[in-house]
Amino acid sequence: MSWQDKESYLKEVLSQVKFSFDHEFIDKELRSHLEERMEDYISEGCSPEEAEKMALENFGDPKEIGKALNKEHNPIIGWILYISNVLLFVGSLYLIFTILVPFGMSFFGRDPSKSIPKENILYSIEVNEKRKIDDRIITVEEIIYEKNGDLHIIYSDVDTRLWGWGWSFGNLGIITDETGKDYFDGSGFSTGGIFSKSLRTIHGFPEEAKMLNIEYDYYNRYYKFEIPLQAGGAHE
Amino acid sequence: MNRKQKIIRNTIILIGFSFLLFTRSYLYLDPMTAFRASERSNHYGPSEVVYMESFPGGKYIVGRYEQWISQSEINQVFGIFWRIGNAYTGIEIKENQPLTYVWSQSDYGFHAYGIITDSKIAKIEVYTSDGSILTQSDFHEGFFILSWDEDAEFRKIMAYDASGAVIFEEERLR
Repeated sequence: MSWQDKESYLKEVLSQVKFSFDHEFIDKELRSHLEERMEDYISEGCSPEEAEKMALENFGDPKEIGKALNKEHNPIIGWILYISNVLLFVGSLYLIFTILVPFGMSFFGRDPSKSIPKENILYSIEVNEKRKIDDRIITVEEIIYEKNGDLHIIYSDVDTRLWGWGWSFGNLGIITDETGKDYFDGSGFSTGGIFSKSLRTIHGFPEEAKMLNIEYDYYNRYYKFEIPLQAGGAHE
Repeated sequence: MNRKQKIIRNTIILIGFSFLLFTRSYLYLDPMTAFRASERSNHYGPSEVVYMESFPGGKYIVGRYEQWISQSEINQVFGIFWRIGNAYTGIEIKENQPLTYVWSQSDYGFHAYGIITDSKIAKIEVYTSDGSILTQSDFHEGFFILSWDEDAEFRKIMAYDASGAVIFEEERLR
């Protein structure tokens, strides 16, 4: 059978390929090869119509080509690949929005110290001391004291477990000065996430205090931070 | 890369994704692992589990850790996984009272739970706002837990000895 028309030839080839999701790819491939051959014939002096006819004849029986392509584009493997691609796409989106974005936000999210106007800061102290309870590492990063008597404790906590998530860290501990007086009046916020940055603000903390103690002593877990207050910033 | 190689590549990536999603999810393979993870991340315990009760959404676990008691809810997810639910931990046992109790509310209803310190207590009654009375007389190592689904709040707890005399009574302040 002689094929005069490229479109009907390709249609016949594709009718043999059962996995329809590959039709577009096969069509493009065959069309490209056919057009290359046609260009060769045209460059040898054939008219476009003759070139198409000769290219189709040389290509062979479309049914046989279609059957061979059907074997190569096995529908079972095609469907497995298609489903795995879809799962990969959905999984990637899920991963991005449930793990990577929260992870990134917890690392690069709001820096608590940025919320304190610089002109209000009387002194600040870089602390960077760590304590560990269970699987959690708590780091007191910085102490900032404001002219209005607000003392800000900037700290982070990270859960070192590989498997699973649990409760977030809500209680930094009891805050006292060197006299043992404790301070509750204040506020705080936390970014949450795997690497959580938090701010604990104590209102009315005395400017002349020499030490800041943060003591956690609950349910047989214990840590204590003892931070000299007049060692840094404007006091140096 | 042929299609078979692409399938192998996709499978390997999907296994990696699944591992990452599972490890960083709230899901656990059994309720006890979820319970232990809940306590550890709460910096509490490990408790001795004194009572475990199934409910349609998962399990209630009542535990004792030294002088404290706790009640945790472990929720079942997708039929095979478990997730940490509400937890009430670190309720200090009041040795000077006949019993120590807490009442709580979750998506799955109300609960009153506690521990008996007076061995004469033979029956606990919990009164709810709709007039219902819940009773428990079989205690698990001194622990009791009473749960109710109705949209009725906790009102009162009473404890009686074997003769029916009131040993303890406490009403919720409205």
